[in-house]
Amino acid sequence: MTSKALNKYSPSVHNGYWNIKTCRKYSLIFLLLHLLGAPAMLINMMYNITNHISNTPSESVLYIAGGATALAGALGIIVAFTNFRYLFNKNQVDMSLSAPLSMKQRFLSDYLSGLVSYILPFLASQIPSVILFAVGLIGYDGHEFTLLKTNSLGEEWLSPYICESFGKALPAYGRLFIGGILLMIMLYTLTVLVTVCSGTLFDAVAQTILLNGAIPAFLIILFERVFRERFMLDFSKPYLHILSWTSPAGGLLMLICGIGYENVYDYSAVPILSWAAGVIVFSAAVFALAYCFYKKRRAEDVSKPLVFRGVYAVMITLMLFTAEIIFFGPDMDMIKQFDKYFFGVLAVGFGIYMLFEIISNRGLKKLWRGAVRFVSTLAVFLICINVINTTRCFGAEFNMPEADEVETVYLGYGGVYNEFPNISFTYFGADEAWGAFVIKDRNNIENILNAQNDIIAAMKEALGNNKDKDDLYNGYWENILLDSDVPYAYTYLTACHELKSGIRQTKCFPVMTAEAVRCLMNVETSEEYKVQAAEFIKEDFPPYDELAESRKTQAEFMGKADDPEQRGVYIYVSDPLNNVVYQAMVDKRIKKFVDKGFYEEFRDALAADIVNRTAAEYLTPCTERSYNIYISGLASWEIDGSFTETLKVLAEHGCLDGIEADIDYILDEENYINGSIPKMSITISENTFDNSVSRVLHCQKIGMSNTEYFDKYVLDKGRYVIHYSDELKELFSVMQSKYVTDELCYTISLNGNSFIIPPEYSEIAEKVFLSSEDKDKYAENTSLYYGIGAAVE
Amino acid sequence: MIELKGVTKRFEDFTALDGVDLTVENGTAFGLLGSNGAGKSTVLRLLSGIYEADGGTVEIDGESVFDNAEVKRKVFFINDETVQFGGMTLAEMKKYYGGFYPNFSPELFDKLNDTIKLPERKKMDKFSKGMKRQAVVMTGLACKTEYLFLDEAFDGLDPTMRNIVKRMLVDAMLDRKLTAVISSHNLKEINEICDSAALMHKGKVLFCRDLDSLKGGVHKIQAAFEKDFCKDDFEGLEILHFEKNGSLTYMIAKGDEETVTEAVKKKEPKIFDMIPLTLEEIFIYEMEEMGYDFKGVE
Repeated sequence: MTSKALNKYSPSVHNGYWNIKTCRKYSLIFLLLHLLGAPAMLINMMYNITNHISNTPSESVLYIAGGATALAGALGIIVAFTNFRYLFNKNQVDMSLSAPLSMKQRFLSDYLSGLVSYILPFLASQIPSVILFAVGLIGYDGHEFTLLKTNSLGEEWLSPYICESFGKALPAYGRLFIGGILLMIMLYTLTVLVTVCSGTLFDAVAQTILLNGAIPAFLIILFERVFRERFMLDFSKPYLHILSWTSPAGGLLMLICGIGYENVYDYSAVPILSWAAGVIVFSAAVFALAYCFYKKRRAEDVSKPLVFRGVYAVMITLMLFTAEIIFFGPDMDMIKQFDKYFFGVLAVGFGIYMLFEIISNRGLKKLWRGAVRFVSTLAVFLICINVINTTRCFGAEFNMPEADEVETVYLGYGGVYNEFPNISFTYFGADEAWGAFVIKDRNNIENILNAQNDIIAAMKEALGNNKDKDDLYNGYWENILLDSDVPYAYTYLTACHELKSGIRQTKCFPVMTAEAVRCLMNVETSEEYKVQAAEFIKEDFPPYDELAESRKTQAEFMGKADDPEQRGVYIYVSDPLNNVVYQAMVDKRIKKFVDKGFYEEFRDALAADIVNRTAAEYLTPCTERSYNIYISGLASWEIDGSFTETLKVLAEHGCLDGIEADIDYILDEENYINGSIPKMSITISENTFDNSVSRVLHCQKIGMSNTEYFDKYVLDKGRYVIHYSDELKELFSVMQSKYVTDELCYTISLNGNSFIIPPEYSEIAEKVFLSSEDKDKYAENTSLYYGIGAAVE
Repeated sequence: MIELKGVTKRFEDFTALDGVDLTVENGTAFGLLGSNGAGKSTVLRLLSGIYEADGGTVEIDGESVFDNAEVKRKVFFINDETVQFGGMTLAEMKKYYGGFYPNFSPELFDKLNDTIKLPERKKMDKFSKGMKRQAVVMTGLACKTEYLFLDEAFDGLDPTMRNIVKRMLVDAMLDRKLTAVISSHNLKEINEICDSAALMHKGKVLFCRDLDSLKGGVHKIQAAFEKDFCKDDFEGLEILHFEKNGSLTYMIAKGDEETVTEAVKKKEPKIFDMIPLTLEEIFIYEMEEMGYDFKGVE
C-alpha cells in the first residue's frame, strides 16, 4: 500500500469514514430494528385505509414494529455520543485534536458522519417498502376483486372491491418517511448540542434527558396551565406547532396524529412542507449553536462537570419552572397562604436539585452555589408568575380587536347544537383545522366580538369584586354557580380572530350555555352559521358502506359476529323520559335495521331541518314531545317537533309507532338493576327552569341578572319527593325535556335528568313540592328516596 | 522553527505556564525537563494545537498552531498514554493515521515493524504498555512529519526497546532533519538524544541551554591545598558549589576548561583532578546558583 492510496481523501472525509466504521455495529442494529418496523407499519397502514378502522389484524405485530422503529430512532443519541466521545476523555481528546483538522472540519466531519450512521440504515430499511409499493401500485391498484360479503341479517352477496390501498397509503407513508428523517435529524442535532456542552458521558446522558423533556414539558405547561387555564388564551395551533418543531416527542405526536391514528390533536391539516421547514429551521439553529459551543469549548474541559453551565442552568430552570407550575399551580394562592403542601414540594424539589448538583459537581465542593442557584431560580419563577398574574398576562387576556380589524372569526362553539356530535366543540382550539365555524359576515363578526366584550366586562366586574382572588375564572364561576346541586350547563366560547393584518389570536372563555346563547343568538340563527352546522351534521355520517363494514369488523373483533344487531346498522328511537331508567330505555324503544336508503334519507333530513328551522324554533325549543335517536356506530341526537323532515322520515320507516313515556314502568322498583344503574332519585325545584337557555331568556325578559335569579329562585329550593303520588305521575306525563316560557315554573330532576313542568301545571307541582322533604333532612341517607310509596321517617 | 513567546496557559485558578519563551531550531532534538506539574506536557499540547494559549504566541514555521490544519499536518504528538488506541489493531492504526498525514509511509511503518515485530492483526488493548508505546512511536515516525513531540515517550520500555526506539528517532532526525521535542523527567535520556534542553518549574522556564556548551562550561574539581582556601579566594572564577571534606576541596566552577584549570593551579594544589559532570549534577548546581532548592524541584 502506498501513501498515495492512503491519502486519497481529505482528512475530513477520512475522519468521517473512520467514524462511520466505528459506528457500524450500531448502524447494523438500527437497520435490523427499522426492518422490523417499516414494512409492518406500511402493511398496517394499508389495512387501516382499506378497512376504515383503527384495529389491526395483529396488534402485537404493530406494537413490535412501532416499538422497534421508535427504539431505532431513540438510539440515535448513542451515535452522537460515540462520534463526540473524545470530548469526555483526556487521551482521546489529545488524539482527536492533534489530528490535522481544523475545528470546523472536525465538527462537520463528526456531525455528518454520525448522521450518515444514523440515517443510512433507515433509508436502507425502506427498500422492502419501496418494493411493496412498486408491486402494489403496478400489480394491484385499480384492479377489481370480488369479495364475498355478508350483511347483518346473514345475507351473502358478492361485492366488487377496487384495490387502491397502495395509492392511498403512499402519501401517508411519504409523510411518515420525510417526517421520520427530519425527527431523526432533530434528535441527533439536539444530542450533539448536549454532548458538546457536557464534560462527561453522565452529564451528556442526564442533559439529553433534561433537554428532550425540558422543552416540551415547559411548552405544555406554559401554554396549557398558564395561558389557557389561567388566562383562557388559546394558542393551541401555534403551540402544538411549536411543540412539533422543537422537540422530537412533539414532532412524533404530529406525525402519528397527522396520519389519523389519533384525533386528540388534529394535525392532519398541517402541510408536511411547512412543518418540515419549521423543523429544519430549528435543527439548523441547534446545529449552529452546537458549533459555536464546540468552537468555544477547550480541550481541557474534558471531565469538567457541565462545561457550559449556562445551557444546564437554562434547562434545569425550565424543568424547575415546569415542576413548580405542576405542583404549585400558576397562581400565588398556595404560596401566599404558606400552604404545607407548598413547602413540602419545595423541600422535595430542593432535595432533588441539590442531589443533581452533588452528582454533577462530583462532590460537596461549592455546594452553596447550588443552593444559591435554586433560590435564584425559585425567585425568578415567583417574580415571573407574579408579573404575569398582576398584569393579567401583560394585558393580553382582555385585549380585544375592533370589529373592522377582523377579517374572519373561527368560532369553536356549538350553541344549542352543542350536544350534537360533531358540533360539540371543546376549548381545544378554533380555526379551520379544528373544524370551527368560519364566520365572515360582518354582522356576525360584530355580534361575536360584542359577546366576548360582554363576557370580559362581566369578568372584570368579578375581578373588581374579588381583588384578593388570583384566579378570575374560579371566582367568576363561584359567583354564578353557587349551588352544585342545581343543574347547569356551561360551555367554552372559543373564537379565533384572524385580523386583516394576517395575525391570528384565539380567546377562550368559559360561559354559561345560556349566556352564550343569549350573546350569540343572532349569529346562531344566521344563514352562515346554520348552513355550516348542517354540514357538520352531515360530516358525522360516514358513507354507509364504510359504517356497515366497520360494524361487521368490530362485531367480529368482539366475538359477536353472529349477533345481527351487533354487526348491522340499527336506529333506536325512544322517549327521553324512558331514558332515565336503563331498563325502560331498552324495553320501550323502537329498534329498526337501517339500510343505505334510510340512512341517507335520515342524514339529509336532519341536515335540512338544521337549515330550515326558524329562529324562533331554534331559540325556543318546541313544547311538543321530543325523541332520543341513536344510530349504532354513530351517536345520539335529541330532536323536537320542529325537526319536521327528520320526523317524517322516521315515521315513514315506522320508528315513531307507539313511543311514549311509560311512567308506571319507570317508577317500578323492579326495573332498577342493582349496582350499575342508579336508584331513582326525584327532586322537585320551585320556580326554576332546567334549561339555562330558557332561564336566561326569561331573566332577560324580567330584567333580572343570572345571579339575582339564582339567589331568589334557585338556591336550596330543591326538595326530595318521597311520595310517588298520582299528582307526581300526572306531572311526569306533562313535563318536557326542553321547554321555554316566560313564566316561572317547576323543574323535576329524575336521576339527574331534568325536566320542565309547563306553568299551567304549577298548581299540581306546588302540591308535590309542598309534600316533599327538605334535602338537608335526608342528605346522609339517600336510600330512602326510591320506590313507590317509600315511607316518610 | 518552533517559537513560544510569552506563553501563558491557565486551567481555571491554576497557572500551568507563565510567560514561557522557547525557541527550537529545525532539525534539532529539544528536551523539556521538569518535575510533575512543571508544564512540560502543556507546552507539548500547545505545540500540537490541542490547547489554545491564554496569552503569548505559539508558532511553528511562523504560523500559529491552534486550529490550523496545515500546520498540524507537519506535527505528530505522542502523549504519555496509549489507552486511546486500545480498540485498534496495528493495521488499523496504519490506515487511521495514513489518512491524515500526506507523507505517511506504510513502507517505513512496515520496515520499522520488521525491527520490533509487533502483531499487526491483534487489538492493541492486548498489547503490553511497552508494545503500545513502540507502536505509537513507530506510527509517529511513519507519518514523516517535520515535527515530532513526545511526552514521556520512553516510559514503560525495557532497556533494549528503549535503545531501539531511540535509534529510530535518531535515524529519523539524521535522515530527514526531524525536529523532536521530548519531555521527560529523565536527564539521562535527554542527555543521550537532545541537542538542547530547557528546565521547567512551576510553569516557568528556569533555563534553556545547548547541552554541549552546558557540559563544557561547568567543571567539577577535586583538589588538596596546603593552605586553607575559601570560595572567595578564587577570584575571577564563577564557583557554583564549594565544599570541603577533610583536606579535600570540591568545587563546581563555570567557564572554559583552560581558565578554570589555570585559576585553580595558581593556588598550587597538591592534588588536582578535573572530574566529568553528569547532566543531572550540572542542573543541580545551576539551579542552586539560581537560588532554587533542588530538592524542592525534583
